[in-house]
Amino acid sequence: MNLNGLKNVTIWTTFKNTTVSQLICDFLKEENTILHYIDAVNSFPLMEFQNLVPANEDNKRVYDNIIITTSLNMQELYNIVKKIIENTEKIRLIVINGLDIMFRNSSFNDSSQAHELLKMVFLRVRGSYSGGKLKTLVLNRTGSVPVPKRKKLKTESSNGIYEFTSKYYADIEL
Amino acid sequence: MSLGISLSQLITDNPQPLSSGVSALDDALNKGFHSRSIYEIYGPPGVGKTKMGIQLVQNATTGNSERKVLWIETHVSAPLNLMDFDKGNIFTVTTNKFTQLLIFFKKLLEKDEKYDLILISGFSQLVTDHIEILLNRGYNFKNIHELKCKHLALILTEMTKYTHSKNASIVLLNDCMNTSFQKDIGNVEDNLEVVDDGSNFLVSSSFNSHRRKNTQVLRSSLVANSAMGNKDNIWEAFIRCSIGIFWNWKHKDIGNNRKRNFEKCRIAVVSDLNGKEMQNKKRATYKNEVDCSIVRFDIDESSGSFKDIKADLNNINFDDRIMPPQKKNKSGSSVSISPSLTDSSRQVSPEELLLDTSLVGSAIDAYNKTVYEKEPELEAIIYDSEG
Repeated sequence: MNLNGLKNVTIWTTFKNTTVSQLICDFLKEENTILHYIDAVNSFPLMEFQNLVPANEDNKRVYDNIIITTSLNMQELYNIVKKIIENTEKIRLIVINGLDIMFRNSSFNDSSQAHELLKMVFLRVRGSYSGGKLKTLVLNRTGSVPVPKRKKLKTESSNGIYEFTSKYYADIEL
Repeated sequence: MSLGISLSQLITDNPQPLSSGVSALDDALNKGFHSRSIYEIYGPPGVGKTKMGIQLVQNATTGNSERKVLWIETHVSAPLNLMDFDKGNIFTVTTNKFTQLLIFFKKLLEKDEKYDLILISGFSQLVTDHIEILLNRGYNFKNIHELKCKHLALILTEMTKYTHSKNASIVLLNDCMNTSFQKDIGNVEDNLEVVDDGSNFLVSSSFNSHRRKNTQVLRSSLVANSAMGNKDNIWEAFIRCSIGIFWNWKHKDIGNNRKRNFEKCRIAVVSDLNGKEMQNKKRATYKNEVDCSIVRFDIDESSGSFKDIKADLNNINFDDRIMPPQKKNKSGSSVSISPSLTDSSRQVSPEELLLDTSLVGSAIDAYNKTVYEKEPELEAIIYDSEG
């Protein structure tokens, strides 16, 4: 996938660590850009990224402009996204990895609140598109499972959350 | 609330990966045990899980007086008597309940004290006990797997919070269990023809015709317990790598003489549980996609620590593996051998090998040599079906 393939909210299912690294690398080549990697587990593809962009003084700007945040539930994700949106100076890409983990952790406590927060997160990012200054990429690490037609979408399963998000909030699923 | 840290800061803050002492294993783990990560080591009794833990503690504390290690002991005391190095920075705590451990991690997160490495020996036993308690309380057996996954996700979330906030590593030392040890697990693996995802031994059992033909697999006790099911990916997402340690035969050319050589070594099967391909797929379908490495190692007699025995055999393509046909031995149990082993040019005939099931490992060695025309790769150690 290239940068042109990124929409307001994109769900990426067929990714690999190398392709994610390449996309991050391409995005940060542009001036005035910043990337927020929101993660539920320690999954940033550091090795692949370092192969593409060696960690040296010349590339310091690139490494400085990647912000890694840990989020383990929907409330944390919502707070982080809200804070990112407040700053509109730079062109931003939000990469979310482990949405299923965050949603499940919140559902353990309160399922309806987890749904509410999911809605608020994506309505916020959709509402803050502002001419392409903010884009969101959701990495679906659970892989794609075809959904039979007419089957009711459930958000309880790990893949269900991506199907649900894809259907109601995403512009494109790759 | 912090918005996070920059990647440059993360690289600066993160300590170097912790070496296991076995360079091939470190390579398989991408330079060793990383901070901000949870690892699992599992294997049968006596294979060296605790020894590996001690080696990690030694490597963590030696030459770095600031690194602190916490050994959480469950049902067995921490092996402090086996640690013949400075134990000034090693702390122990005992917990014998799953819920106690959960609260412990919540409290630990609030404290300023930082441990760089936390080992939990017998974590799987805590989980097994917890499942038994839930069953005794009247929880429905049908729902127990989902409940196990939820509770494991809960405790692993707390552990992940700790590792991320303190730049720490957590290593779980677990037992392993045969997946078909119980009769009432339902259809968990009924649909599997072959389970050879590399993280286990294979057993082909057709001893009694009336019994279901099982493919018996040694798995971590976190997976193979009385709450088995197919949703383990819920909690496995938190574990960066799972390392299964098993026994294997050493490969020595026995030449023309028929002297039997049954020296053993160890293999570590390293599975990347965080790999995208592993998630949400039935085990039978991801066997060809699993990111798995095999490392051979053993104890160095002089130093008493684990060492490499030869270049590791990483990145085996399981797609190429062929399951050999079966022959019956005298006892009636069936074991897998290669058709090529019936060739008279073999130094040891398969029939002779099959008289003694302990020789089956050698049979598989020879089979692998024949098939791959290179050093044998992964050997499936085959049990007697009653074993």
